[in-house]
Amino acid sequence: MRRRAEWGFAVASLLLALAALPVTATAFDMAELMALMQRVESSRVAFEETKYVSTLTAPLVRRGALSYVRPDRLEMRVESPYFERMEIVGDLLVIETKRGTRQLDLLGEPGLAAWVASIRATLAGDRATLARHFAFKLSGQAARWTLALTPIEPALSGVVATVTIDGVQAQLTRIEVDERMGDRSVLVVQPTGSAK
Amino acid sequence: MGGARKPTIAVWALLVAAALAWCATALKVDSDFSAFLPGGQSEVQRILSRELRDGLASRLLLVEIAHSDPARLALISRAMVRTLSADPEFRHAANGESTLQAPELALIERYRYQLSDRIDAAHFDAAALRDALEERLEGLAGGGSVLEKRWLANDPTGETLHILAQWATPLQPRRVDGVWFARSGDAALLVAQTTAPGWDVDGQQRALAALTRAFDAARAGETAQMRFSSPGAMSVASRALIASDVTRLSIASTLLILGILFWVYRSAPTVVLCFIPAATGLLAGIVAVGAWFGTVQGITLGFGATLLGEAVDYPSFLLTQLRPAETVADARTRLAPTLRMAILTTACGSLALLFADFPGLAQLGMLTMVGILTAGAMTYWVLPLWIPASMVRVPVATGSRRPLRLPGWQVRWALVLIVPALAAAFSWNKPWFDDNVANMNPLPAALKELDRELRDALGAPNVRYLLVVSGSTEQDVLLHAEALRPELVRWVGRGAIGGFDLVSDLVPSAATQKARQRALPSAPQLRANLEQALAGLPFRPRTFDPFLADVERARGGEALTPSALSGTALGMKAESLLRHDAGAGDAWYAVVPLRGVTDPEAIAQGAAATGSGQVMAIDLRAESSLMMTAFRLRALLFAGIGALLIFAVLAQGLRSAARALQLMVPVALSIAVTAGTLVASGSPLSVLHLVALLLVLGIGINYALFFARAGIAQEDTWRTLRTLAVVSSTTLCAFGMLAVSRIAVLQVIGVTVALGVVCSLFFCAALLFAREPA
Repeated sequence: MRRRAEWGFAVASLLLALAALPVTATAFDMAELMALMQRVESSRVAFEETKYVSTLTAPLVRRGALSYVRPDRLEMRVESPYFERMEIVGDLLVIETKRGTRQLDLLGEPGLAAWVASIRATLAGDRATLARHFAFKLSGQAARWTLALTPIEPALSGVVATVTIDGVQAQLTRIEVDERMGDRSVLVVQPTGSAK
Repeated sequence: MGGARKPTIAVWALLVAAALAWCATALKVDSDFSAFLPGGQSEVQRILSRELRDGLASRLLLVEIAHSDPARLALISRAMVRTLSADPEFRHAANGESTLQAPELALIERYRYQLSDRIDAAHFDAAALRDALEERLEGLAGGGSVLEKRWLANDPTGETLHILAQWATPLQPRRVDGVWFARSGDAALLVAQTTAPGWDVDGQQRALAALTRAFDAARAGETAQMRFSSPGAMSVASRALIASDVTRLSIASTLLILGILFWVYRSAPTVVLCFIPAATGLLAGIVAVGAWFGTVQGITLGFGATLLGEAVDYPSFLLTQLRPAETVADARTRLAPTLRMAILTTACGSLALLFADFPGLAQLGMLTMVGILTAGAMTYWVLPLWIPASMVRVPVATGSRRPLRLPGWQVRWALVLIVPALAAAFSWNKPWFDDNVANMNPLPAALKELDRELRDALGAPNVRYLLVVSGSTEQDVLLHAEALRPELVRWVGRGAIGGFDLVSDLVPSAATQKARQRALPSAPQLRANLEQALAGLPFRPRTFDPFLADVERARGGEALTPSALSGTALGMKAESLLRHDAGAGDAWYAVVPLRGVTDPEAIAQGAAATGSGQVMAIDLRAESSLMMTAFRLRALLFAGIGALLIFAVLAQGLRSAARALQLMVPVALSIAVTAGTLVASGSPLSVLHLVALLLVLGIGINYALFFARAGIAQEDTWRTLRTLAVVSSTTLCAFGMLAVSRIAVLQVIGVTVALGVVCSLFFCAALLFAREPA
């Protein structure tokens, strides 16, 4: 009897597991990720970005902070090795380096606009904007997801092959940009607390 | 007399047939409205006039696409630029799409070491290269790394980007989806340069048709709508407008005049005979203008109607004066002196037009003079032969023998003094003269407004201040322009001007390009400098081989010439800044538009101080006003000469200088009152008004002659009133019709002459009627 019960338990748990498997696989979809992201009003993280450039013998490493304020403000502040600050509010991009400040209208630069959208629309949970610029594929669970973005517009797709964003719940952990010519950059979000 | 009838008809018919055949085969009608802009007396004015006629600005088409969502508008804009760029009617089309892929960029890249103003012997030494490479490294790490990679291997010192930054105009429209949009963001903008110059109306019409086709294809049934403007488009619009107005008004005034004449004579053959001298005169005038000027202006033809209105008067002067049982030939003999004077004075009145500096106005002068003389000669010599005495009956107002009760001289003089006093009182504090050349433009205000709107949107405002640098050859001008640059930079530094466009920045002189090429190091030297600069930097070996090859190629390359840019946006700009006058002197000019001028005084002095005399500072608004003022003075001079001739004709005909003066006083008063009334009603006098007042002079003198005659024989009083009623009503019909025209030139003349006719009737009646002969 006992054996039967064990069997019964095993079968039940197997059935449960079988039943549960498809449930968990479909449970974390784009709608859920977007909903998750929409709950974040603002965020600020430290990052380390490594660029692998074919013409250079060594990768370039930059460190700084990335911050987002709902709905449309994104700032990337680089502290080392050179100071650089990119601030995007609405359609206006401001790039500040030690040589001066430059302003760009994103509406006039489709490639740049798409690149900005990959990060900002993900942070905003703005699925419509993402869909306008990228074909996307989400995999994993809420606890650990990967969003692969493939540019649609020629202005960006000519340069960028894919943008891959990893995340844990509503927190981005890694952004990898693979360029057509083989160069790539990997931005890794530093563990919490190291941001300023 | 009857015997002379058939041969004269035959001769006349032959001449008319020949003239008609010539018109049908050889006459060219054109509607280049710049014929109504002055040709200019000084060199500067001639340059400006030519620029207006066939300069780059005259080929520039500004286009706006609106009424759809921005993404669709941007798509339409892109599709249109692709179509137009391939169309032979256009040399170039642009909508602000990334210049980094355009053919312009290939040119800049290829010639970058001849174009960049940073190239000197030190630019490629080891230290400078090291700085540049470190900057590249920083750029590769930074946000603009994609852009950096595009240039890195060939152009590590960033010359191409430097040149692009130097050329970037501050007045670019904003962009949406990568193409130009209006500031409001709801209309896409593009510009196109037509192959045909602005004065070539047929070419412009073909270009506009191609534009419309391109838009319809790109729109593909969308709701989007297009508006466009260009001097050429305006010419096309004005041609259509002139054609429709001229046809409409000519038909209307001809019908009205025929109606009046028919009401007076009640006889179709008589009406036809009245029309024959005028129609013959018009034909002769057109042939004369066509033969002398090569082409006839559409607007000149428009005046055919007014000429008809005037020339139809001569037979009327004759026929409405017929006494009972008098033959036309007898009446002609009786009225001969008056008729002769009337015809000659009108011809003298058009003298000022004939010598006008505007080709369009000179044509009007010739049309009027030849037309009047021909119509007069027909009336004087031919008509009496053609009209049998029995044929003419003038049933209207023949009757009353009742003597006219005329107001006393006190009343008349009071009126004569009060009316001019009123005109003076209402006009003395208003501006009398309008020298704005834009008001001469025969186009309706709506089209001008659209043009201004599109110019503002595209950041292509009409330039007011510019410098003209002249030279004997293209290279000569480029050298002078380069020499001017430091001075311009000083002006910018002082805040006297905001910026400038200098052709030598786009295409440096061959000498400067040569000097830059000589400053480039040899291949081994550059390789050594680069090795030294690369020490310790993480660039892979051989990364900069393309750079070494490019510099070596640039050392031996030929100079970039303005013609090499043709067909690109850069060529379009270079062409607008560098002009060749193949005519007299074979001169070259660099036009240097100045932006944001705050201190015109300093510019004029600075240009004068450059000493060489090759630089002229021009204030376009002041210059065109000057041109108009000069023309006005010239017109007044010829009007004065015309008035003197009229006086001579009258004095000779009346055998009395005092009588001649008596006749001219009321006409002078009516001209003064007409002018005063126009000014008082808020329209300052332009050259066009002066022209119209000359016509008033000719017509007024005719009235004066007949009013003065009325006093001679009491029995003719009623007949004379009838004559004046007929001729003034036909004239009023002709010019009243012009007054409703949509074309400014015709409208102004119509209003002025109609007013002048009324004034002339009033003053001639008040001062001359029933006055005893001296």
